[in-house]
Amino acid sequence: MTARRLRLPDPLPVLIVAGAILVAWQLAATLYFNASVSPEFRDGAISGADPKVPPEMRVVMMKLPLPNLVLAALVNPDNAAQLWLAGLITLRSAVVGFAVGGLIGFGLAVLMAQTPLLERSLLPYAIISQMVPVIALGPIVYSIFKDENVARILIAAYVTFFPVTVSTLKGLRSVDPNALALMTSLAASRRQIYLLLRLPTALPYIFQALKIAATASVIGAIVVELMGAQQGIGVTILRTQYYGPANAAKLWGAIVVASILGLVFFRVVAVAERFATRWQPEFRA
Amino acid sequence: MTRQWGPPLAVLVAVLGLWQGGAFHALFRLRDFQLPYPVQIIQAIVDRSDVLWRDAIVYTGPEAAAGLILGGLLGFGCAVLFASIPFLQRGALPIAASFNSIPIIAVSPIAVLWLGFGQPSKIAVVALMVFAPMVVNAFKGLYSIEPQSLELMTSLAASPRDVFWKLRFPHALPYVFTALKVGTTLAMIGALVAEFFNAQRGLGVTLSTNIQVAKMPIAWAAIVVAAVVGLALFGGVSLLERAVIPWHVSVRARGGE
Repeated sequence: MTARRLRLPDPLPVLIVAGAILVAWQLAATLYFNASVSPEFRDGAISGADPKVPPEMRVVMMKLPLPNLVLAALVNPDNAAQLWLAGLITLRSAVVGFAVGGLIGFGLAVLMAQTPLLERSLLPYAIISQMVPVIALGPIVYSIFKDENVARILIAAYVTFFPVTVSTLKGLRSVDPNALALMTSLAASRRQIYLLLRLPTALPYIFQALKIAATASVIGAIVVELMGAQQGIGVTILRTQYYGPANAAKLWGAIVVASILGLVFFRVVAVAERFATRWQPEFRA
Repeated sequence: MTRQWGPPLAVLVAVLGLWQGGAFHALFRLRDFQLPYPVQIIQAIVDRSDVLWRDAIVYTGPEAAAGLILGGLLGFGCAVLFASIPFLQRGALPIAASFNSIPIIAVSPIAVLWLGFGQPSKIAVVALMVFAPMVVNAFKGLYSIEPQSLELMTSLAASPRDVFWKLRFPHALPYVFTALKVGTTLAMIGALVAEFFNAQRGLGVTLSTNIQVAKMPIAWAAIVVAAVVGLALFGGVSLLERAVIPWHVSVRARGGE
């Protein structure tokens, strides 16, 4: 893994493969469209305006849309509110929840590292909670608070909180005994040991959890939206789906926006990791 | 034993006690219908046990398990492909890995268009969700081989096939099980959420219909049952791991406790 990361990532092969996928998609979508929609209904199946188009032909564009139409929907200013603005609303909740959950998780881990009783009482639940579908609580949280922002933030915070707690605790515990012995022999204060030794040791572990949580918080926010909310990219996905073929490109555009949210948030945390933990072997050039 | 289980049990009893006593309702100013009490939830689990366990054992559980197996096989196959073709390793692996940060769950409406309201569409969503962690982990296991081991095998004129089955494959197994364990949670989430909007039966359907009619105890009961199914899946994968790779450090360390 380190050997792979040490080499500078070469964008060319990725671009070639991505381009090949896109071309294959365009070809497959064109073939599928032409094979399933008879010529007289083709315009109607794309625009969705013609009610005479049979239902099985109307659904073709939703199943496998032409990438060029999806791209057009993404850059069309008319869709900006439903796609990009909705995406930002989702991202805002995810980021706030991520920050809240990360801070609480970090604080709890520090407390647990100090108090073994606390660790023994709570850690089993933190671990079990990783094995159960926490996100299913989304609609219930929404039904309790009746506020989609609160629901999204709570779920995003919840999915962030546990990985951060578990990883931070592991990181705080992973201190090199020799380094600790050296610091205590030099009469370092507890605070110095924390700031100069334990925290830096824990940082890579914390970022590992934050990277998982960045994605999970976006997914959590979207799941809350899919299960009942008024605004956000998940809502756009649901609504455009119900409005039929006229919205096929917009539906897929919304899925693309949702994917971009997850990718961007993950990237941002990964870049932050690179700056915060420069000493890690895989970041040394 | 008591030392180990005492504190967590005390916390559980305390939380359930405070909840039943109305502390959370007072704290967050909730009405009874918004947040049911533990006793009501247990009552709902008992009363509706036939429906809930049918949902879990006939629908949601098998969907999650089938998707986990399908996505796992697909991911492992891709990892083998990427590990053997250097161009794909540099070109396709980063793209497959980026699937990890994509909310796959968003495509579940499309899966229904392709595969209908039944179980296949849920299995497809679960398989897609499990796919990326499996590709990344299995690749890591297949690829990060000790150079000495590889040199030894080639110096003994081992065929590529032997190198794969006797070196790369066993080395990848612990990574594969890690991915499967991560996948069990994803699989349950995928199956539940996919059922939530478009399905005929399953825990997700029970969850959604009971929330709509504000029968919160049953909705909570569905979540408790889903958690039990998730734990059972996780336990199943762990047992399999123990049986398949008893030689690995992670398994031995656990056994020695």
